[in-house]
Amino acid sequence: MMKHVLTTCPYCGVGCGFYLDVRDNRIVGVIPSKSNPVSKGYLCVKGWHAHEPVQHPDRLKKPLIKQNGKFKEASWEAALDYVAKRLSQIKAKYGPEALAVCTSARCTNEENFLMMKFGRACLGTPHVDHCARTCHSATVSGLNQSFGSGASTNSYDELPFMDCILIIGSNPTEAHPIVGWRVRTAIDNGAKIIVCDPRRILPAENASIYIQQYPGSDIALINAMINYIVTEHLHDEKFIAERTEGFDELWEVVKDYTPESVKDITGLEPELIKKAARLYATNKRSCIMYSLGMTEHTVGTDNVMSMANLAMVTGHVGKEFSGVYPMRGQNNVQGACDMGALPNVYPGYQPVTDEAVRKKFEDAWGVKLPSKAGFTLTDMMQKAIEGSLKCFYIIGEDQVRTDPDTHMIERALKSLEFLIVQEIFLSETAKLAHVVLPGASYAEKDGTFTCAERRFQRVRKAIEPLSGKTDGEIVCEISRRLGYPIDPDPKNALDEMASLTPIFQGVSFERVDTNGLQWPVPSKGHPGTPVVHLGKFRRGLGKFMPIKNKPPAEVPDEEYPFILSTGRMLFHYNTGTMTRRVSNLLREYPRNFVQMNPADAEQLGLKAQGSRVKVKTRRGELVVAAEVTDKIKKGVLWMPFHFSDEPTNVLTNSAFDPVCKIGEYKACAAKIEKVK
Amino acid sequence: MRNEYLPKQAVIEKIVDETADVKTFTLRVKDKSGDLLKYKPGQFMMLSLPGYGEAPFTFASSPAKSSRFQISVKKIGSLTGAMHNLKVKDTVGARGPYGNTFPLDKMKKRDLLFVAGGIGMAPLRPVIQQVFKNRKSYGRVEIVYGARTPKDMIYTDEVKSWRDEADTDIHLTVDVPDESWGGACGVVCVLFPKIKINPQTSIAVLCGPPLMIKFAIFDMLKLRFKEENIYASLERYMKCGIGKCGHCYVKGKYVCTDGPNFSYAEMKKLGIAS
Amino acid sequence: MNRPFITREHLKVLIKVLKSSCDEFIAPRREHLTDIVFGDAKTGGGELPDYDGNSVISPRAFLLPQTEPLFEIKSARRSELAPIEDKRTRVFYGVRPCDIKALVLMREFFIEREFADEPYKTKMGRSTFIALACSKRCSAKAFCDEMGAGPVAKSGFDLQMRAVSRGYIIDIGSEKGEKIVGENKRLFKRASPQDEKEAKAVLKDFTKEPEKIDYKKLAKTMANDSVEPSVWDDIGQRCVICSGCVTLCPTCGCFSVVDRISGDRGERLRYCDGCPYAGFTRMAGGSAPFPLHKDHIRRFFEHKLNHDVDRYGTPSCVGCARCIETCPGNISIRKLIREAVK
Repeated sequence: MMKHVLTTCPYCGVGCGFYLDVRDNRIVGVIPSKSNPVSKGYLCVKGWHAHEPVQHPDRLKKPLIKQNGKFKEASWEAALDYVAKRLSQIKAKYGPEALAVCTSARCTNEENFLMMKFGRACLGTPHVDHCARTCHSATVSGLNQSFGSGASTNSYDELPFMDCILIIGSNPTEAHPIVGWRVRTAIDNGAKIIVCDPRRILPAENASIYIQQYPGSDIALINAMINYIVTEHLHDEKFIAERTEGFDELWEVVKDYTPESVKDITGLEPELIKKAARLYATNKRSCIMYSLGMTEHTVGTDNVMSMANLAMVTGHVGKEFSGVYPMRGQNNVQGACDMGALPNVYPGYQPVTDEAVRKKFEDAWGVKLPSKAGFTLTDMMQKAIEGSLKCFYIIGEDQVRTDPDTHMIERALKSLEFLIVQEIFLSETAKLAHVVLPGASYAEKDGTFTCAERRFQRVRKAIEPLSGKTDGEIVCEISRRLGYPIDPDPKNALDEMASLTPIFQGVSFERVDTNGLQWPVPSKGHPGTPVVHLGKFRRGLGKFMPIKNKPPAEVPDEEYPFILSTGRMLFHYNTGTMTRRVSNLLREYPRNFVQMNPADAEQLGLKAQGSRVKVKTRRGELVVAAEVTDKIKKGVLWMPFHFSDEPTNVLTNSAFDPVCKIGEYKACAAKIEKVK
Repeated sequence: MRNEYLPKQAVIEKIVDETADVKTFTLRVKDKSGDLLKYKPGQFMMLSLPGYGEAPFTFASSPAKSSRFQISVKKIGSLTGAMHNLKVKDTVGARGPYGNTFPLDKMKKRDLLFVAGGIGMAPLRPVIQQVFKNRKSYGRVEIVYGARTPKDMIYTDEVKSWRDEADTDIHLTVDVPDESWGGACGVVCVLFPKIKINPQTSIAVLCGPPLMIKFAIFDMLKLRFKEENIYASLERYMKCGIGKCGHCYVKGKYVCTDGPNFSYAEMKKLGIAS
Repeated sequence: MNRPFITREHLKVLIKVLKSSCDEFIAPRREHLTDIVFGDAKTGGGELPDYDGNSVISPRAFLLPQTEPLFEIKSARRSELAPIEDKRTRVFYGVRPCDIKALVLMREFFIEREFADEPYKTKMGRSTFIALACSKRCSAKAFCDEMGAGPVAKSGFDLQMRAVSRGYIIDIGSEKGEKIVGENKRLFKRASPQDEKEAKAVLKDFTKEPEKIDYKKLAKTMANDSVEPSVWDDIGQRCVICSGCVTLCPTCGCFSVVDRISGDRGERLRYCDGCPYAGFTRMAGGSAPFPLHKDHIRRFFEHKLNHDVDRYGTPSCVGCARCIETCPGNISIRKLIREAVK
């Protein structure tokens, strides 16, 4: 038996399409789909190997129940009965608010909808969130305040035709390679690139301007650009007058940020900022591309709104070939947000506190729903330590390895009365669980993912779930046992979601099937929306937010003189549970390392590339190999976070953004020592 | 069908700790049919440890009529690490022999210089044994052996015993001496002035770390050894041993089938001489 | 005597006959929208008797899949291994001439050298190849004619079909092909002079302005290291190590092996590997004979355009353009060739 199953890549948020080459129930390879509107026959190294982890022998196939500190395999019946029993016991004893559900940006939209519904309607808890908290929650909150919609304003296919692309805090080549291909094509087409990054990433090699600012000085940089643009009358007065509000308030703050005044904060020559500002402002087709380098800060939301300010000042938004592109990190982190797997909204960003909205969902689901916003994932950890949260149901996320300050997260999870983890491999978080439920990979289910350009795309089942159940089915089985039956069929779930959500009204399997569908899709026959805010922002007028520069929560001092930043690399994906099980990927980078500037290495007395060094912060320490490279700014260290056995997040700071509660992965104070 | 990729079972009969990180394994092939035991000095075999994979090892023993052979394994990666945990009577997989041999015929009647660094003595051992077995067919033999420390030398007793062979001299050196060390210090080249053979007609055979090979060849050329008379056994990452997997490919040649033993003249053509 | 000829109607019958003669009928099928991918049409059907363009991946993927078990591990502890043999017979239908030439080169390399690659050889031995010559260029980037690999195959097929308005002229390339025609005599006629004339016109149309590459000169330029260093620098910077080129190239056969064990049992897999990776040549312990990324990519090109010219008398690039159309760095082997022989 042989078939080619068209599906969507399970790694980053770009959303590439490929066929899984299935022969006799073995997935033997990946064949790119040339007709896919996102990837057009291109894939990155992870995509080309996306088949390998699916049938890896390490996959969890049976539920595990912990007895006397050791996992024992159990039948589905026994495990699900046990989970249902414990959930109802804890709910009865402490009330529904002692329970929390963490859904998964790796799962489908339909599954996220079901999990969200299970949490709110069956368990009755307001505490529903997922890992967007740690990547793009700042985008959702920031762009929503500025534009009225927290997603990418424009589409990938406009990128190759841009005149100027400002890439800030994003490394498309490594983190979003098929968007990286479009940037490459833009360069080949003659576009001017401005790269702002503490590391001289690959696009910087072909950039017109490369700006190496200090991590955490982005607002100062952007405000200085706005200052120069307005001072030189390069701003779009007509756009500001007709499409925006609050410019005067913005100027009141920004007028003090001359390029000269931010020299010390950013570590940049004023001339460089001026050149970049002029280039971005004066080109006709300019856009901004950003990623976690901007969001993963205590000022994440402010960073995002600053970029919105810059785009609006120059009129580079709200039309074709312009805009603000947040590069989403995970295959379906956009979708998980869209499906209302956030503590404050239902699908389509309908507030849980809006009575009319709540009534609509209560009528549809036949239950009373919580009337207030729940805890964010960040708060949940704190509440677990404090003791008001007693039980987490975590699906497809490895908080122990992904959240900042590992030791704190472990403490939080260990203080729970009951922890359910649904996973495809035994992750570090799963090891702490009382019950582990074996989930299904992307290749074992039907549904949709939504990529960073707001495009719903189909995910199709290539093989039967190795554990026998998809993640949606597992959740529904628990719900049924708790007396609230939910239909797990993905098609029906999507239809139900669409019927309850204005901006997804026209979404269905049939519509998504051919070429995907870009939301908003406000009615059945609506063709989808490649460019948002055309003619009018979703919130009406675009809102300038006056933002002042604030330093990171932790800044270098005498004891910890370096700024440590972290990030993703080409060959691995997040905690590496999948990519470290692909031989070629693991072979390229088998172990963790720290990048440092040659001047810093010399001062430390490091002789050889790869020397062992100890990186220390106030939260932890880690011994890794040093990669000495002039691609990184002096005084800055950089580490990837993919290596479960050498986990970078023991070092990172759990200080968070007060608005969206995102952790500050991108800047903390560190020191480095030679290891003998 | 003869699937060359399918190894045969071989049982570990003996394990000798040569140094802290080198062990010599004596393996007995269960099924004597096939070519594995028909190896010649300089050839290598692929050793399989199911679960860990496969890696090439040069035969460290002389071909004999028995069903046994030896390899010396330095602990470097995961496979060699796992090898070091094995015990006598454990079973591994083996296939081969692969690659070319040292030019034993060409070496006849000539003076010979052997230069080994560390574990690099393993591939040279069978050819040196062959030479001594037919001592009269060859001229004078000079053996230069270097290691990081005295404790990193392998086959020490046997190397010492070679001193008793006629018209033979052994020179040892280490990078880092210990209290017991009375010999020379430094890279192998420091011993070249002691060699009493005519470089212009002699044949040199080298095996060791790439840097040692590089500097030794450099000095040999200065001594007027001929490019086509200097042979080195090259090490490359390889997965198949039969010229298919491509890892060891260099400029149209496969180190596994066209090598692993190349003359310096050949190496230069391949651009792998420095 | 004129060559055999088959009408479109009779071709359908022949396909039916061929399907019943094999275990798998590997034919081009239309997948999503315009994607063409070779698949088994014996049971599922859906084969395209004729088609424009070429398959996303060469049908060689059935002889050397991206991942393939080499043997079964019955007991890892005791090194008990058991062979896995693919006994299926396959008819490959509608294979493009470029991919046929690639198979010829693969045969030289994988079967006819000192050691044969047994899994590949076994499958090849049980396969029949029916080529379909190209009437149109499959994509603007393809340059099979410049590489002497298309639009018509010279050898390496059992039968080759050339489309003309009435049907297909047949080239017989082997005894196996002879036998197919012989056993299905009632389906074949003889091509008319008009058919032959038409076929010639198609060929002339295809290569209107053929810019034949002097590949001997190209190989020499590379061998003498006289390609501008900036060309290699640029390529090194563009390559983002996606591995698409080595996965889709029909003449790339490099692989690696890995053991997948569950408990004491499992299998040894081989999987596609190749030049772009730093780890491809890096040795245990970390030393790298080729430390620079640009040299990894250079090796890919030099193998195909320089060393193989030396060895086989022909470059092992067949001009299918698959690597060009999947490269996120916009690297073009065709552009490289032009720049090199400039």
